[in-house]
Amino acid sequence: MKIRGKLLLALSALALLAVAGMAAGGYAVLHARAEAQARESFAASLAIVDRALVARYRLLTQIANLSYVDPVIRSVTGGATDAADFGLDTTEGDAENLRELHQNLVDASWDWSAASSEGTFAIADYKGRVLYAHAAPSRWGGDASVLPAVAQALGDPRQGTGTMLARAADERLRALGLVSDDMGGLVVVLARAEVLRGRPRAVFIQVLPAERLLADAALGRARVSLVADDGEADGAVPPAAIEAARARMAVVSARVDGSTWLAQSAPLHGPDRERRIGTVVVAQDLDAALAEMTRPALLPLALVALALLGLAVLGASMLARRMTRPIEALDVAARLVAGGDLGAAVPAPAGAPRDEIDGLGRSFNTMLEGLRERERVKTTFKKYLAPDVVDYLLAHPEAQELGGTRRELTVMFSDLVHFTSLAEARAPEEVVTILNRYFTRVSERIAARGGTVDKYIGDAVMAFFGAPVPRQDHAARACLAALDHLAVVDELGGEPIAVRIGINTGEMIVGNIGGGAAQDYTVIGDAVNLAQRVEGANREYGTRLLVTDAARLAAGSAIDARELDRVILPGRARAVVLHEVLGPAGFLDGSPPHRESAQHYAEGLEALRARGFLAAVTAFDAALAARPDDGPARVLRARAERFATTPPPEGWDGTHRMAK
Amino acid sequence: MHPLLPLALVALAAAPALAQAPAQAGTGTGTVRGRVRVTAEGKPADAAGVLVYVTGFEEPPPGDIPELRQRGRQFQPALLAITAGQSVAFPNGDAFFHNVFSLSPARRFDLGQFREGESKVKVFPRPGIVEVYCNIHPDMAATILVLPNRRHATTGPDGSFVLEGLPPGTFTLFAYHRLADRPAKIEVTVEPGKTLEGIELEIDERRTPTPHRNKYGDSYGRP
Repeated sequence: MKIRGKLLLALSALALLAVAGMAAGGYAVLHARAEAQARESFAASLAIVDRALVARYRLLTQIANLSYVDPVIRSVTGGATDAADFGLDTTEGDAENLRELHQNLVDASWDWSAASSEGTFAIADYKGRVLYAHAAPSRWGGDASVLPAVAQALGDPRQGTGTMLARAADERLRALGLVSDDMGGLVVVLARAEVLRGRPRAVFIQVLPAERLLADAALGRARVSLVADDGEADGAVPPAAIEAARARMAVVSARVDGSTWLAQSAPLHGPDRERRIGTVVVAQDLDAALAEMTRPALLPLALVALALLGLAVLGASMLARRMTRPIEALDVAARLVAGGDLGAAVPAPAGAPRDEIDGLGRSFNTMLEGLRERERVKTTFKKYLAPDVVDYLLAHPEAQELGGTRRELTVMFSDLVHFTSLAEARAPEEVVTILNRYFTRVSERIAARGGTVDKYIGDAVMAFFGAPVPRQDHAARACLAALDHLAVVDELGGEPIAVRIGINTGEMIVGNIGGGAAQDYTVIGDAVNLAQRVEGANREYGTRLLVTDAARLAAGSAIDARELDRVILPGRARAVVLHEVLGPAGFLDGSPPHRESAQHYAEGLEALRARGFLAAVTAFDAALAARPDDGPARVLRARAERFATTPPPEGWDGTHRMAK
Repeated sequence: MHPLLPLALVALAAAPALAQAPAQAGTGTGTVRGRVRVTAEGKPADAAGVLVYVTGFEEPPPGDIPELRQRGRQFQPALLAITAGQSVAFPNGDAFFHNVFSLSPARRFDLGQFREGESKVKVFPRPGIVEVYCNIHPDMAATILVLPNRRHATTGPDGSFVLEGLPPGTFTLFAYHRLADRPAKIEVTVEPGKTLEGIELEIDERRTPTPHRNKYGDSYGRP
């Protein structure tokens, strides 16, 4: 079959698949949207219930505050409070007095209809005795403090706030005339105490049917219910959904009459936003919503699918012809790339992509550019780079500019010991295998610590830390990488090789150094040379990992190390203090012999520098007793012994001049 | 006008007969003596003129009609104690009009405007606190304490007081001065024929000024 025929077939099949996928995708999108809409309306509904309660309470507060400005209201409601102070509160049991106070409130002719238009409204005195209940006719009498909301408001002189959720059938409310006959289900009782000089003077009480709060909150298909703590519910949510939602505070799904519902519950708080008075449940029939959303989309979808299929078959034959050419070009280019020629590119006319194939060709070109860039980075560095470093360099091209910057970095030199003799004893292929395995593992560990392997010099490895990706903790990374490095040699086991490592931290020049193809991203400077010298110093002390003072300081608490000696290294003018890295942080805590020998070593070093040579010998002996293989202790013990018989000249400052 | 007015008239009519009551009390009653210490802002102040009274039992009112005179744009006295059922006269001793009123729940009244030499009488049938103001002069203010019984006294210059003719029992004893926010109080137990000595109370004169409004509920000085 010719490619054109295959294309025609494939395109038609693809079109069919696309249409099927579109339908499936469309359904999934609608489903997700229905659920998202439900969740959104839940959040909005819950917020509205909260806000509605606060708004009602605010209105009650305003009514209370405004009423309380009236001296009549103030004296009628507050008089009893003052009278109680004077032992003259005779309102108790004095129905006549209560009636008179009630009449005073009626005479005050305040318009409290705003407070009672949607429920009932009452004013009680400081003891909760109802002085006025807005009803027809208005009434008085009874102790409203039996209602927890009123008791709360009276007992809270700071805020004067009280709320509760109760059944309209509640006997207490009925007895006080605070529910009208048309009220059923649940009611919200709001109480607001007016507080003067730290004491409640009067309570304004409003009783609202729960449905008033819910009326505004039922958004779209969402249904809302209030649920009291005794399980009594009021609202439009089916009981099964309430049951499911009350179980936990998340959006849950429930089966109601064979349909899937989403439901969510949230605590209903009083206007103080602290006291919980009940639960709000919002729910929605997800299946119904979905069906409603899908129905109008079904016919257009089917028509679009048919039209697409027809067009696809028609267009496919035309497209196939036009497509074969660029595809062939792509094929050729791809072959070239496969052959290693990253310079291959597909012809791409200027301007916006003509079609997908053209776009594909451009994408192909873009991909090639990316590959070339990656290749260029790798060529430039000519060494193993961790993938994240390559990504960093691709994202920060300025980090690999030619030239150099002066930066503080840490450089590490390692050298294999005894490798020459091994190389002579083995077959060349075997030597190469061992070396390759060694270099591969070491490079991996260094890269894993964020270091850059600079070069391999024979059996030596040079690496630096802190460039090209800047790292604050380059010294600590170098030391930890060096410990990993030692571990690699130990892992290789069986091979009679050892490694010596030197590390230094200091300012050096980093950049692409060299010309053209020989360009190399490397570091140069005196600090680099010093690291190499430090590596060499291992030989004298029988150590494996030495670092300079600067590196030790910069590594900080990442490692456990000990001060070894102050030396003038061969070919250098100035003395440098060397430290031996013993292990990662916490190493000494886990190794008592090392800790002990390190302590005695420090004592010995102190004594030696103070010309207490015999004391130094004793201390180094103790160090060796704790750890017989402590090389530096042995070396310095010998030095101390030598000085004991042939003391160094006057003015000797403890610095050791190392022979070449 | 007031629903309790007839009741007050009956009380007034009965007053002469009741005036003999203390004579009958005789040996069956007890006496309480004590002192009230007065401080103003924490410093010792004049201890005279502090009203001392007890609550917890009721007595019929005496027949006399004390005066709350308006003179020099002041009420005299500023604090008046009477017994429930007793009447108070409000003579105007100034050469200009006054309009005495109260919005207190214990007794709301408005005497209207009246000129020099005129006097109005009002009965106070129920115990309570009655804050009295003048609708013309915002600085005029007086307090009438309508007490359930007649056992009240005023302290002498040293703050000492004597309450006689108290029935046996345990009552609350109050000491109040108009410059104090609230009265001081103490429980006393009276035994027949005995005198309870050394009752001490302390009040601090630091009343928080509470601005009041005129009888229409408006601020003074508003058109």
